[in-house]
Amino acid sequence: MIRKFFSKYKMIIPFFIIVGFFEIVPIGNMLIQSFLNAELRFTFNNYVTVFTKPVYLVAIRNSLFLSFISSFLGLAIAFLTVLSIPLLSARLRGVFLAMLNMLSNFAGLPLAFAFMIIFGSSGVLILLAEEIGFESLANFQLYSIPGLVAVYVYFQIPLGILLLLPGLAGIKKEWQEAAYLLKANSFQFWIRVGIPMFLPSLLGTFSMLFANALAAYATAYLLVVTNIPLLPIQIANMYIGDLRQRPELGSALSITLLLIMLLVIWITNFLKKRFEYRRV
Amino acid sequence: MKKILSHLWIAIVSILLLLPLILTFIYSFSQSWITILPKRFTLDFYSSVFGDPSFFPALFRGFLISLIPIVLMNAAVMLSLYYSILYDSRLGYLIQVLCLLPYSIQGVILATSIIGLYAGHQSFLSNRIFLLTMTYCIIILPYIYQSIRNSFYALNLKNIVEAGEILGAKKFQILLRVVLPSLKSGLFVSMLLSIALIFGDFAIIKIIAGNQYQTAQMYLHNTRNMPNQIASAIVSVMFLIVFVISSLILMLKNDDLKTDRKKD
Repeated sequence: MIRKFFSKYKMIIPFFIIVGFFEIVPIGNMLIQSFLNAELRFTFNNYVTVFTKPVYLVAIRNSLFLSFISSFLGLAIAFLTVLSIPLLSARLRGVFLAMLNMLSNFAGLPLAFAFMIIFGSSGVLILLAEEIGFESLANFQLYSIPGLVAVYVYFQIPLGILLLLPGLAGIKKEWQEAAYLLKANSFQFWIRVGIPMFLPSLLGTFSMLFANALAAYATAYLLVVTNIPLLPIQIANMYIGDLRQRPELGSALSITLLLIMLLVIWITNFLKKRFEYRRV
Repeated sequence: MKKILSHLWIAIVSILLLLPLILTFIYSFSQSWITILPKRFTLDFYSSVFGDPSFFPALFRGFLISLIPIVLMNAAVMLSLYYSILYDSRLGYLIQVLCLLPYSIQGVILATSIIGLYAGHQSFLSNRIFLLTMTYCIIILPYIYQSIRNSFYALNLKNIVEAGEILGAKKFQILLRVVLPSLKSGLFVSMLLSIALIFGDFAIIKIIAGNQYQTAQMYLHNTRNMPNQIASAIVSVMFLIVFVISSLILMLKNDDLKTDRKKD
């Protein structure tokens, strides 16, 4: 009986063993643990702590704010850039896209280091700005929320452009011509036709950027010491570092992060469907 | 007018995006930089990085750790997809969900969930390097799945298997002798993507292995208190490596597009 089972399913067993042990069981265990106390009894206390203790509330608020602002700014800049790309000559377009592809690899820890080297408190440009008396740059604080927003926006832009680009092909030149024939100007065309048609693509990109920012660990780890709590850092600290390890609380924080991510994906999908439906 | 504005906009975006990269690169060659132009260019920082006996092993470890996940997951996903397409299409849906899930779970959550479950055990399961390998297996799953599924669809797998069986071949033989060779370029792209992904990971390695397994990322992390030029030199080298890998990926993809167009 068992041998028969094995010989029938031998091709799929390795996959399900690996995925089972290292994806399903850990995530399931995390979900269960988030509802247990130290004595392994059922409790909601971990979630109560997450949503009442200031440090975690601030972490959630910071992470949401940072992800939202950086995704929004990144998306806006990416959108304007994507609109400009068709006006470039074919050769320039090729160069620009190759550059974006190259820059989309500049992320994580190396990127955070580069920003620290250039815009940190003794960074190259900061010292330079002090030297020549360029006050507003000299006063730039990398280790603050606005500083983090700058770094996050930086890595969202190339990603946003590369994700938006395929959607632009859906905006037909004929529509633009038709709109101009009907005496619409370029601004009216984009407000009334272009952006609504482009919206599903914009929303999809927004949710990708949001998830990307929300879970970004390396940048936050290097640039934020302890003064600005962020969700991914708080989660990791429950498992590593000098503080007493509290896996139950870490689990509740992780599940919170996961739920925020799923909620944003769900909302954007919902809006996307509505707009796609209207189109028909 | 519109054309000028859009050129100007693209130029501004390009400059702002390139600035951190270029400045880091220049800084890695400069003795000091506190006036408008850097003072005296030097290769000292590169020679001290390359001269450090632990630098190249760290670079190498970043690649080494991706080896087992790539081989293991390509084999596991290929076999299970092959099975699901031939015998059980409902299973295919389950496989898809499981393979795409890591996209939304993300590194920090997956790594902490695995550490939370296995770290306390007194068996081989709690070996950090083993756990790291298995976490990477899951993280690269979406990329491997998509590349194999696309190749299987492009091949029209069912017809090929039927044709092979009429000629008297066994299913496993068909997989090895017919299907596998035609997957080559797709597998190569997903392999490079996985290498780039694992080479660029910091969150998972920091959470699971810490300094127990020093990759290039951890090496860079450990230079926090050294002169900034050292870090700039390492950042430049690492960027160059990832750049080469991603250029290869782009080249291969474009080649594929070209041959596809020729076929049409």
